[in-house]
Amino acid sequence: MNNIQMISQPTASLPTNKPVELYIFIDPLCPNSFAMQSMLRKLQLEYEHYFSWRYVLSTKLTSLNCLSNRIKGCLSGDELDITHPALPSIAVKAAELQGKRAGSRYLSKLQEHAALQTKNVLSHTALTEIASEVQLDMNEFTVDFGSKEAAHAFQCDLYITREMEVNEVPSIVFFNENVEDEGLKVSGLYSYEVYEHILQEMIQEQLVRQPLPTLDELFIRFQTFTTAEIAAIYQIAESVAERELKKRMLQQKIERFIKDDIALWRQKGSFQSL
Amino acid sequence: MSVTIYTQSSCSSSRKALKWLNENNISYNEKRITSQPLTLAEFKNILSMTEDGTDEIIATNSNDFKNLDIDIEQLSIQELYTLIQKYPRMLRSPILLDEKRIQVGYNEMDIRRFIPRKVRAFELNALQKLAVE
Repeated sequence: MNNIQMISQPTASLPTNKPVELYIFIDPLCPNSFAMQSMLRKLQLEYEHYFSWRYVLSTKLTSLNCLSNRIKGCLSGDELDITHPALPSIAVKAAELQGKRAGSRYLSKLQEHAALQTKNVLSHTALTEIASEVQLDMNEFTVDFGSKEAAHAFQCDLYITREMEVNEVPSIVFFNENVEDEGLKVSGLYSYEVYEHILQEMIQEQLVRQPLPTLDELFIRFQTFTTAEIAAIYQIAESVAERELKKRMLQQKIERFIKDDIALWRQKGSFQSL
Repeated sequence: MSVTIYTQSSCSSSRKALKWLNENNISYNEKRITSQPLTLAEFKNILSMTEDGTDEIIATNSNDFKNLDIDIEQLSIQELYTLIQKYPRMLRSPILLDEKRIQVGYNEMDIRRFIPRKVRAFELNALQKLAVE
């Protein structure tokens, strides 16, 4: 697998503070937002010494306004399951109250379930199960999910979306260190090179790229990938990526989950169920 | 929306940050956590802005923290919150946040991020846009 690292460069001294801020606007259920993940992961792997980032949930208001069906469950309150298009976003914000990393772990899992249709991610019960799958502090999550703090956090995200005039997901807004400069808004999803180029423009010096980790290290950091993501990160053909992944599956290091034409790979034993 | 700044008494960094906010006409709410304990909601709001929960906000070299001799990683959020209420000085100071970001401690470069900025669209060729079928 070491041959896959050929595009890496020697690491020069890296800046200690992060001069660029990224605001990444997504809708947790939008397939294009999910598709942006591999670009983001690669950007983090190679250039995270230059930028801090956060997700902003810009769930479409139209989908929030539609009243969803209430499913009557058993009479006990715990088992009464509700579904609503805003619930996934509020759940992500509730997860985020345990830190940004917890929030993005939760979001990835949610997007996986949505992509593979393994759970009805609009349902309260399923969203709570996901929290336990990614090992959140469940005492807090259960309280936070229904709390006004999570709702308020979600409202703040919608406020930022309006303030930065973002009207498409996914979008990214870049800010550099120079407070006189305007932020740069990139609406839509572009190839990796486009973002690399913008980062370069914001920093105004030659970017120093961190070498990509090996495939095994990659799985430790992010746990789950599609074949296409692995191919995109290492810039190799999907067939090559698949062969490498299968090798690791035979070595019992990772396991595969297939739904329709999406293959998802994840580190063995990292999660109990999907 | 405005900036919230959590300060501690006799902390020079807190004073510097307040001075900077005043000089730059940025409206803020100050809360001195050494006299008025953090609420759980405030604490969680701070956590939500941090990268990995606690590392960034705990003053690991403070006497309060050293005397406690605990492993932060092992604590639940509730346990940590209870400790912080009791020993507010185990938090770094000041902590500034608005709805977009958090800033821990005072740094004259980084605090400038709180100055409001405009956003413009970056012009890209629409043909380059990737679509997901």
